[in-house]
Amino acid sequence: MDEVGRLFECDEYYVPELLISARAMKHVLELINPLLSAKETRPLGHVIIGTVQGDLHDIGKNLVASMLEGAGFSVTDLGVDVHPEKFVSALEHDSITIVALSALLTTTMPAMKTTINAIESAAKRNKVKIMVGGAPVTETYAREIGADGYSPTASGAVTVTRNFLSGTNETVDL
Amino acid sequence: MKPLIYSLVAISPAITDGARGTLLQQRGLLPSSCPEEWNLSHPDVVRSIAEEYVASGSSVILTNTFGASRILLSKYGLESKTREIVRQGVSRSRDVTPEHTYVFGSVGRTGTLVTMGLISTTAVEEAFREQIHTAADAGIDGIVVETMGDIEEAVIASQAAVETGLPVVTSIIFTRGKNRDRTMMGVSAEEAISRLTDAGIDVFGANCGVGPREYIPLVYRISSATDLPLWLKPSAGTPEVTAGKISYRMEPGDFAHTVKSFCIREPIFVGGCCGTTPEFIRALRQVVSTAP
Repeated sequence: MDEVGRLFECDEYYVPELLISARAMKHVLELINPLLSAKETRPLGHVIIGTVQGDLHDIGKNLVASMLEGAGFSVTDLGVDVHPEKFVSALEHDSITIVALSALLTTTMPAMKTTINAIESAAKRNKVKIMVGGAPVTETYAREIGADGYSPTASGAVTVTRNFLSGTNETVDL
Repeated sequence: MKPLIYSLVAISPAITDGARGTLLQQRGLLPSSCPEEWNLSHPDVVRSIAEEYVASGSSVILTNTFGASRILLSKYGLESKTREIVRQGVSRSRDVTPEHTYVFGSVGRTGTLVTMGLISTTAVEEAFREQIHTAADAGIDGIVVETMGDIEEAVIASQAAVETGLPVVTSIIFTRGKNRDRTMMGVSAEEAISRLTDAGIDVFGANCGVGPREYIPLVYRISSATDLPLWLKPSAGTPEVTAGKISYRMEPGDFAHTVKSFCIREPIFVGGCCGTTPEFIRALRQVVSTAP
């Protein structure tokens, strides 16, 4: 999957190759995981992902979810037009360590900030790492709204997630 | 070439219109609401945008029906109003067009991926056919299938549009590739042109995605691959975010001069996508148009 991601970044692979590879990897993991669980291994991490309030676009968000699953993360997809409070209540599950927010519209980007604020107000901010992405989102904007990570591409989102966890969690190298 | 297209591009470049969605948002449309629903609830605003484009010099204006397919409207629970929304969208543009100004019905993507089998081809075909035939019956002069990132979806919509016998423009959003000349699915400009020419379209185009500067290599590539008239509507640059506010920074004059630099051959239609306003069309009319 790393190689697929690299090829995507340098314009050799496109959305179909990315989706097919991620689907294949997900099925492979479904076969391998039972064998690994015998040795008490865990997923790399638990991510919740959603398109922020007011935004109904999900192609990019689904792509990131598939890539993360393909990379061995457990992913809960909250869907589109997700209210900040829905992100907050999903964080009741202690296993969640990463929140991924998506927006395609310049006009819905501010809902990313609102969502981060809601997570802060609920005193959950220090428990999770938050990453943001979507066509109009930039690194500058990510920094401005207080996100922990940003990636311009779906494959880059996997690298960001890995960096969040490196050295801090028990991981299984698949 | 169909007679209407022929007469429109007789003096090239022909000037089309600018953005609708970003303008509606400036006028109070909330990001969470459906832009096409304003055809019913805010007809005056929709009409006045069309009117401003006519006044700024557009010879072709579109309709506020980009997302008025049953598939997309169902995300807002509005699918039962599909035909009414399309009809009213056509009427709001029709209301304001004088003689020699034409209304082309806008047909945008359904928001799902046909290529990857995420939705059935039949469902997409039926939705486009309903949207396009309703618009045709309401009285449009042509159809613009636009901002298509998936060629399979573009072909389905274009075929439904060609069935009406009206002039058909199909415009692709090129966002990937080393020269921004491939779709998100990796389809090259040449492959797109070949598939859509087979579908029987009259005009091939590119819109949205990036600003006019990034269009220059793409336009050269498209020009050498087809003799069809071209339709080009770049955005007003790429959106920038400063202090939490999103803006398109490109100035109308800069936009118009850059567009002029890629008007390398005729016949050609030019206009603007996201972030452009009637001011941009006025600038195009002054800088690009050779019409008296």
